[in-house]
Amino acid sequence: MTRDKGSAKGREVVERSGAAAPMGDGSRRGGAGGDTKHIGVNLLWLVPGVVGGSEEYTIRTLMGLAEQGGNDLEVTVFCLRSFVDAHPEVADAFPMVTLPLTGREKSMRLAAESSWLGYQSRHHDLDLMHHAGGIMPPLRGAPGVLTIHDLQPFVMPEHFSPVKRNFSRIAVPRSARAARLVLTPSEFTRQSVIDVLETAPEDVVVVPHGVAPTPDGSTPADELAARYDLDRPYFVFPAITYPHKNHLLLVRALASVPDALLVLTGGAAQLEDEIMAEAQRLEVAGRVRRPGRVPRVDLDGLLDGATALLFPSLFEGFGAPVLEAMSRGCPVVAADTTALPEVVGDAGILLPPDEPEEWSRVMADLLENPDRRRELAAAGRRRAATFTWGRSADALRAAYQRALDREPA
Amino acid sequence: MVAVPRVAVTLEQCWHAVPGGTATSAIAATGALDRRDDLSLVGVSARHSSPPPEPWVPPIATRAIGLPRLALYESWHVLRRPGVESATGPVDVIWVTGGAVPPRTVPMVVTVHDLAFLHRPEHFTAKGRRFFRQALDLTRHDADLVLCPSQVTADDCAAHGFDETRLRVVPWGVDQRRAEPEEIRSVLAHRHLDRPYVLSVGTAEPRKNLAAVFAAFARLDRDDVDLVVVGPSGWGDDVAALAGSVPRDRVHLLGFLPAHELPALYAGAATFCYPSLFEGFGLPVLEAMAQGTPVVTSVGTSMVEVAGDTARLVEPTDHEALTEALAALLDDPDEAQRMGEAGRRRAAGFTWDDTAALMASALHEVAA
Repeated sequence: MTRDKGSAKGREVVERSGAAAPMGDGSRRGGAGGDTKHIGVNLLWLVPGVVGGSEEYTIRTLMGLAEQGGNDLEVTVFCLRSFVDAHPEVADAFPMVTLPLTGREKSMRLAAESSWLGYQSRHHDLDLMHHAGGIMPPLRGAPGVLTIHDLQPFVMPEHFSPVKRNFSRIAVPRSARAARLVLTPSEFTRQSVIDVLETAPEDVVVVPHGVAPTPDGSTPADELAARYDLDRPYFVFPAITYPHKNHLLLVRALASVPDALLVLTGGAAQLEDEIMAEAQRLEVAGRVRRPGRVPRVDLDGLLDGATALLFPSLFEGFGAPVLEAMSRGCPVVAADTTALPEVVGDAGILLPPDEPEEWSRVMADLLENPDRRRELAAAGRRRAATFTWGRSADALRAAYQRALDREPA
Repeated sequence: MVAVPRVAVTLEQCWHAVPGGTATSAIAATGALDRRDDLSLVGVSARHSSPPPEPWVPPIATRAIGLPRLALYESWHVLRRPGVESATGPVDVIWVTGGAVPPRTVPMVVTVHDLAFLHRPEHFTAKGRRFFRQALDLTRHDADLVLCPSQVTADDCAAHGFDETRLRVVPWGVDQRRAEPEEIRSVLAHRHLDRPYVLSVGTAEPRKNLAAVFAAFARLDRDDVDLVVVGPSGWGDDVAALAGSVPRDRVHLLGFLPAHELPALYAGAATFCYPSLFEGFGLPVLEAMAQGTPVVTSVGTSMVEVAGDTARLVEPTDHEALTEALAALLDDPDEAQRMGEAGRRRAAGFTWDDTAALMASALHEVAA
């Protein structure tokens, strides 16, 4: 993967603003002749901790590529300094070139995707640049492939600020047109790209999500029970309180399911107050636990002990939490919309996201029926086992190859 | 010592009668670029008997080509000579910061601030339009890379036939120093500002839409707030006449102010009102944000890229919407404070050093 294993690995090529030359060091492709192709991965959009599921997806896919080894591809990552701090494992696997800005990185990073990256692309003599965050600046030299994680700003514009909406409306279609190949995490997003952006179907390929093998060391049940006040059977919904996540449906469904708790993990957003007010109004607030963001080990433990994961979201470009729950043997009940049906398949229960009575009925049924829960758990594990990061990396590698082989239009 | 590319920087607009934003940005960016050690810079100007007035003095050594400005501009645009090297000696790259476009004797990077003259030709004189048209055509044809301060301008260039892959967005920066409380008190006292005020700035020209500022202020109809307007007189708009409908004792027309007073004036304002119809960037918006002052500005312009979600965005020709936005901030100090803080955090990412870093990328890209 990387040039001469050992020396190239783990090196961070930092381009300092005051350096005598902005070249960092000799990371220009020197002897990488033969059939080795040099791919740049543009992660300037990836501000750690704020971009949602696309962060995990991007990193795990790249790590899958690194783990496969091989010397047909040489990958250099272009990113923010904060990304290197947040993901040392990526910095360990690939040469990293960080944006040499001294101010707050977020304000100028979009501009840097044209100017700074334009120079880097030329300087590193890239064969291909993978713009992994939905936007692709028009640059000279290296052709681009583009990952579009979802088209929510097009499908549900009301959930976005006018600024974000207008930006997406212009930048995303232009990026898709300029790319040799568009990559999506799901067939659902692939179809959206074809339908909304009118990209040719043969130019849009799925690079699926994977799920890591269940890690050891989730928080024990008794500890969780004490920490989150779990004195009854409970359902889990891990999601930031964005409108499209549809928390209100679960609060309403809970009203008809006595003697169960609803544990809502994840950060606060626009609908936070409204959700809690609805819980008060329906007199279920005493059965809603709202711990906010919880550590990964706690969430894993919560999934292990939950009656089911409920996922009524109205829009998912993929829906990674559903896959993670399945891989841990937690029964899944999800909305029958967007990408969720293709992730859940027949290994969980799919329900309309606007019918709380249906959700109440299924929740009550699962509470009473341990056999049904065991059945779903086993089906979920089987299905999740087919989503490996190695498979994602294979798809990514094949996409790179296809883009490289393609003659420019 | 590693040989670094030598860059000729055109700085003639520092000598213009109303140097304006293109000179301000060129001076600040050149100064920041000169602090780097991966490039060596030399300025280029027309023939002059003296340096420009104090705020417009170029921050680097400048060599003059032996022609007065009009002759030089005409010669560059029509005859495509003389090359900058006749003044600077050998260089590796030319950076045109604005104004006329010299012949491309070596790889050339050109800053295009905006294409206002195409969109609002009525805001320009016939002579101005002809000059900008020539400069644009030469840039489109000869520039290796074109630097735009905003995506709006880059998109505009692409729409006017520029090769997209040669467009690079390099936003301007802003001085990050916040005015001290004592400094604010002193400047406000000096300017006789003893009541809360709405601030607007800009050369008095139609594009800046000062008429809307006065109209909105008149509609506000509040006797507890003043209006302060800063900026040199330009052409086409008589500021005093625009202010006609507003009571004299409530409006402070301060004219051109020394740069060192501006941070305090921004910081002291209750809100900053900037309904400009068209900008390549919108530096005043960033200057207000840097002082933590909440901003009301125009939707659908480059100001949106500068302010992001931290400003109130209105249709600049909708006087009622402008009035409402101002009233909302004046009536809700908590919201005004929150917006001001959000703006200040965002402005912290726009430093001239970072502008220079992105510019250096472009200069190295063509020097390679």
